[in-house]
Amino acid sequence: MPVTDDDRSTRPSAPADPLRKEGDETGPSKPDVERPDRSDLLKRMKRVDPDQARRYRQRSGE
Amino acid sequence: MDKRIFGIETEFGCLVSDDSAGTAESIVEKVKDHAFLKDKLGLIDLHARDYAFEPARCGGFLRSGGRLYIDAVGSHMEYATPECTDFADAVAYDKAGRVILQRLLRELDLQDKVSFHSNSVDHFGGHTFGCHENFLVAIDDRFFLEALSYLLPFLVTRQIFAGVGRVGGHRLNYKSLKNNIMTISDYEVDYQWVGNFYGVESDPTVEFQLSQRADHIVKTISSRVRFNRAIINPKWDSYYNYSNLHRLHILFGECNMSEYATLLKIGTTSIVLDLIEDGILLPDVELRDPLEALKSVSRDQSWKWLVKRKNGDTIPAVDLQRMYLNAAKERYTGRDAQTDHILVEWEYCLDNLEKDPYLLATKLDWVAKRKMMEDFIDSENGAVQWGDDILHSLDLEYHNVNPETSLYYGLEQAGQIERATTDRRIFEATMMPPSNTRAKGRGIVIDKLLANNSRDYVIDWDLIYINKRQHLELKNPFNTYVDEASSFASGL
Repeated sequence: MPVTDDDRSTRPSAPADPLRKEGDETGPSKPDVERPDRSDLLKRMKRVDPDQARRYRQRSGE
Repeated sequence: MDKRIFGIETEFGCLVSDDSAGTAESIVEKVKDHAFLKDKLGLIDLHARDYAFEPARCGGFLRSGGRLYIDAVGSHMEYATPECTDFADAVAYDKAGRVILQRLLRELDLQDKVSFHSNSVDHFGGHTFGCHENFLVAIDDRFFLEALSYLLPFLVTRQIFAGVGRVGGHRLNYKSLKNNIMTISDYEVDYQWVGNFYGVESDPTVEFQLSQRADHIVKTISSRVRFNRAIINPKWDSYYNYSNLHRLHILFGECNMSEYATLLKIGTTSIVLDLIEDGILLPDVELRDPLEALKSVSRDQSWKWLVKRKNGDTIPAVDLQRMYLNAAKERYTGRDAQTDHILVEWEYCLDNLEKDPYLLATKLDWVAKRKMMEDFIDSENGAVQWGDDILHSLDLEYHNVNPETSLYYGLEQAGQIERATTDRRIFEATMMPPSNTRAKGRGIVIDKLLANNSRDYVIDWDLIYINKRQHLELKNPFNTYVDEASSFASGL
């Protein structure tokens, strides 16, 4: 059924809990950490060289 | 088709952080030589597969049945999975390529100076390179192009779950090279077969988009792959062909870091091909302008992803995907476990994309990456904004194949991304072929040729040739050829 632009807004107002609550026994395994700590990931992000994308000079492929 | 053959090819970007390691071109040569000459991961090609693009000794077949080689165009290290027929195998073999490359860098003591990235774009150089999928399809030549018109809307919109996400955008300019950021003509081979050319400019109007490749796709179907990049390359001259089956080569794809997204991408595409082969041609899915839709979906900051159909109606990409999903559920539910699993996850993703895409942050690359970027911007208290170089660098680092530094692997190690395979399965896939395709037979013969230190062979997807009296045909990709290959190998 076609809808107009205003029929639906999928953009969330705030991030929701990303962990899926109900498991599917046949599906991929759920993350085994209940409340993952993102601080280590943030530290990893802050170690990234800000200029590395500028130094990443590639040639065209397929 | 109850069973289908498929595989994934990935070109990797090479980042040299320390110039003492050499140029990217010299490093991929070292890595390739180490793989075949020192590690004996497979047999290096002794003959050119293509004099310009795949000359002799540019790579070879692996013991796993896949291929590792340097694509002469662009000098990218490229890995092709062996022929798979289980969706889960495609995931494991796809990831195995990255494990192999990182292991080779470590063995060469280059891991701190060089990194391989499975992304598809050079943000500041304007170049793109690909990740392609191959599917064996049973579509008659006479109806091939018509059939593809029913596949295109699916491929155009599957980026809502298969896109890897990309900071920023590129604009193609055919009229002027004034603001072109793409270097040209440094390497003769890069411009062979180029019948079209344009300049690439950075597009500062895009903060973040779903796809890394959408900005660079200019055709729906084309056999030219640079400057005429298409969604589909029909590959009429295919090594994969068998009987009345053809190799469908999908150019518009990206290398997912998320195993779940890879599984969903391969599984749903295979199921949609089932529909087309079974004559279920959904009349209302055709798009008025697939190329415009490709870009608008990728760049839509509202995440409504509206596309215009041929009949003039507008429909959200989620609903267009549901049309394929519902037709597949009606026909294929209960067919086998892997189909059922894909149908369930496909629906789960569409439901949540409609409800709140952030619910899929543990599953889909573009959502995980987007959330990561937002967390980083928040943590910098206003010092970082969309468009800043650091965000492009973080985008690149998401795709680093090095688990010690990669942002994707950081998520995986924190248990914040859902797996669709295991490390053990990936490790096995670096050495052992799938058990249910002709890759199995190929692997048996490669092992024996390696043990014999043989220097006289020609290996291809469907043939192993030693001499006029000693060759093994592997025409049927669904056949493992275990008995034939074992007998052949014992005579070597």
